[in-house]
Formats: sequence, structure tokens, C-alpha cells
Amino acid sequence: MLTRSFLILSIFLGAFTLNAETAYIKGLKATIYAEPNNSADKIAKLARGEEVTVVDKKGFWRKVKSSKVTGWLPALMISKKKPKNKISVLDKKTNMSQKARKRASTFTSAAAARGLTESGRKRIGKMQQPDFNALEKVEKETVDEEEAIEYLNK
Amino acid sequence: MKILLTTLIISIASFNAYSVQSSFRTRAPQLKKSDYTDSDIEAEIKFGRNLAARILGRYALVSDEKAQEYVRLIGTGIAAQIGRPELKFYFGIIKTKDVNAYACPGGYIFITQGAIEKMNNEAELAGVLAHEITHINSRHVVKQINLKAKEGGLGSITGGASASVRVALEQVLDNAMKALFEKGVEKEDEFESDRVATETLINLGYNWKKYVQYINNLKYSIKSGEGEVLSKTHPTPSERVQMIKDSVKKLEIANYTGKNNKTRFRRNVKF
Repeated sequence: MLTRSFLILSIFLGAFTLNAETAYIKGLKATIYAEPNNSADKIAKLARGEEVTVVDKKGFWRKVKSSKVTGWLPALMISKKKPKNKISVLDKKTNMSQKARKRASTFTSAAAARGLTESGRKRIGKMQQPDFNALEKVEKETVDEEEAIEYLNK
Repeated sequence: MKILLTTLIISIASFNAYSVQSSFRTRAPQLKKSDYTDSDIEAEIKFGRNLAARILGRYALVSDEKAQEYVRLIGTGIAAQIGRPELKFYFGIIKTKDVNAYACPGGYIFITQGAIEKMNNEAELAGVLAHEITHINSRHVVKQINLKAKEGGLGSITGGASASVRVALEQVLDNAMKALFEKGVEKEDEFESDRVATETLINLGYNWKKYVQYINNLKYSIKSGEGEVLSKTHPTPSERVQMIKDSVKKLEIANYTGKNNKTRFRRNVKF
């Protein structure tokens, strides 16, 4: 009888354990510390997307358990949702200015219909003319994420 | 013994049921809030590109390639660790004496030459970039212009080529420019960005106190007129400093120290 009761108790305790929060590593490379302190031993690194269970919390820190290791990391290195893959629009980007120029006549009539006057557009154009060439320069000159993390850690 | 065991089991069962319900209540709105589709995110990036192009229309990029590369390295490293993983982040230094930095939805970040000139070390630069990354992570500008990033809000003005769509996009871009250069985002959003920036610095091994020092020194830029936009769009430096100090105290991380990387900063930034 006592054995059966303990069996039931274990099932409930098991269910309780399942309530521990599941999270995912958000940072590209998350350092796991032995203690909730950044001067503690660094015991492992977990990669973005790895599933962990949050088993304890202490202010800035979260204690996580993965299939490889149990240890502490800053709360901002994990998220409740599984990280998405990179999304880019650059392969199918549309320069809206060019598009607008191609359809200048249509634009003019639609703008007029909506009360956006020629003088109003000139004012905006003078103040905030977009520079897509400069933007493309920014988009071309990027650095590798892993290389950048290494640079930070130097 | 049997009664004791039964009571224990019932207690655990009740606690479990409560715990499941309460965690569901806590999580449900968060899940809904962050449940953005790939199309929502694409629309956010397209909108941000157009806003970034406008900023670059107003201010040219600084021609110092060494400094640009340095900012890119620091910014990309921070974004890889705390930025939204689905976004690619871009960084640039823009030519203006005005002391400020701008975050456009979708991952475009610009810091002014004036802001960098006021800095003394890498910890300060890392703090400002982490602050801007947090604005993008939390979609603060999109929230400020009161346009939903999902459910067709942004998608409806970035996804079409018709004249009416173009007009709508121009109008929303005007509002976003106003948010960046005149009105700012919510005070609470600025505080959140400062709080996360400080935690990021600690996470990356930087001296968070240098970032606080930089914010504190902004009062001199505001006084001299170089921080005009900043004064219109941000809480006062003293409010920001106090909030950060309260936050690190609450998290019990106020005594953490770290690197400044002053030499590396000086080697890469000559202006």
C-alpha cells in the first residue's frame, strides 16, 4: 500500500518538474557559468537555438539545464520562443523611390486626391530625400557575427 | 501515514494546477505579442530600409573607413548576442556634430560622429549600440507611430507598388522621422533600452559605469546645443542615470566591473 502511495507521489512530483520553464539560447554563443557571477568558472558554451530548462532564477541570472550541462547565464541570453532563422529582404528588395518615379503620373493624381500637394512633396523631398545608394553601401559592408564576437572578447 | 500522504498529494496536485494556469496566464499575452510571422518581419525590415535611407539622405556617412569598420565589429558582436536572431543588423557613423544615435526598425542603426567624439572608450560605444539594438528588438519606433507590425499593418504599406500605397508609406515614414528627430519614443521605452544596454555590458564583460558616465555627460552636450535632438527625444540624463542605478541595485549587479578598452577605441577612432 505504502509502495503504491509513493508511486503516485512520484508521478505528481514528476509532473511538478515538468512545470519548469523551457527556453532557448538566443545569443549566438552563450557562456555558461558555474555560479551566478561573471567571475565564476566558465564551464561551457551553448549555441543559439539549443533547448534548455530554466531551473532557478536569481536577479540577473538564470540557472539552466541542457542535455550537456547545468549552469548559470544572464537572463537576456535566453528567450521563451525558439529563435527564428535570419530573414532578408535584400534579394527581393524594392527601391520604393524608383518605383514611385516609374509611376510618377499615377502618384501625382493619387497624391492630389489625398491632399498631398506638389509643394508639400517638394518640402518633404528637400528635407528627407532618401539616399538608397548610401544605404546599399551600409548593407554591403558587413562583418561575420562569429568574427565580431571574437573581436569583442579580445 | 495514509492521511498525511493523501494530503501531500492533493496539495501538490493543487499547486500544479495553479502553477499551470498562472504560467499560462502569464505566457498567453506574451506569446501572442511575439508571435510575428515571417511576412510581418519582412514588412518591418522593408519599412526600416526606407526610414534608414531617409536618415542617410539627411546625413552622409563618415568617410573614415577604419572607424566605420570598428563600429560595425562592435555593433555586430553585440547584436549577435542580444539582438533578435531573425534580423541582420547594419551599422553606420553619420556625419553630424549632433550627439545622438538612431535605430530604424528591421536592424538599421546609425550613430553620429558627434556622439563618438564625446566618447572616451569602447564601453561607452558598446552601451550606446546596445541601447539602439534594444529599441529595434522591442519595436519601439513601430509602436510609437501606432502602426501594428503584424496583422497587415506594416505589410499593407510596404508590400505594394500602387500610388496609394506609396502615399501611405510616405506619410508613415514622415511620422517615423518625427519620432526619431522630434518627439522620441515613450520614456519607458528609453528606460528599457538603458536597462538592457547596462545588462548587456555586464554580460559582455564591459564596465557598465562608463555608459552611465557617458549618459551623465550628455547634459553638457544638451547645454551646448549639440544635443538638441537628444533633449527633445529622450528623458533627461539625470533621470536615465537614476533609473540605471536603481535597476542594477535591484538585480544585485551594481558591484560588477569590466573592461573599458580605451586603447582600442583610441586606435580606431581618430576624430
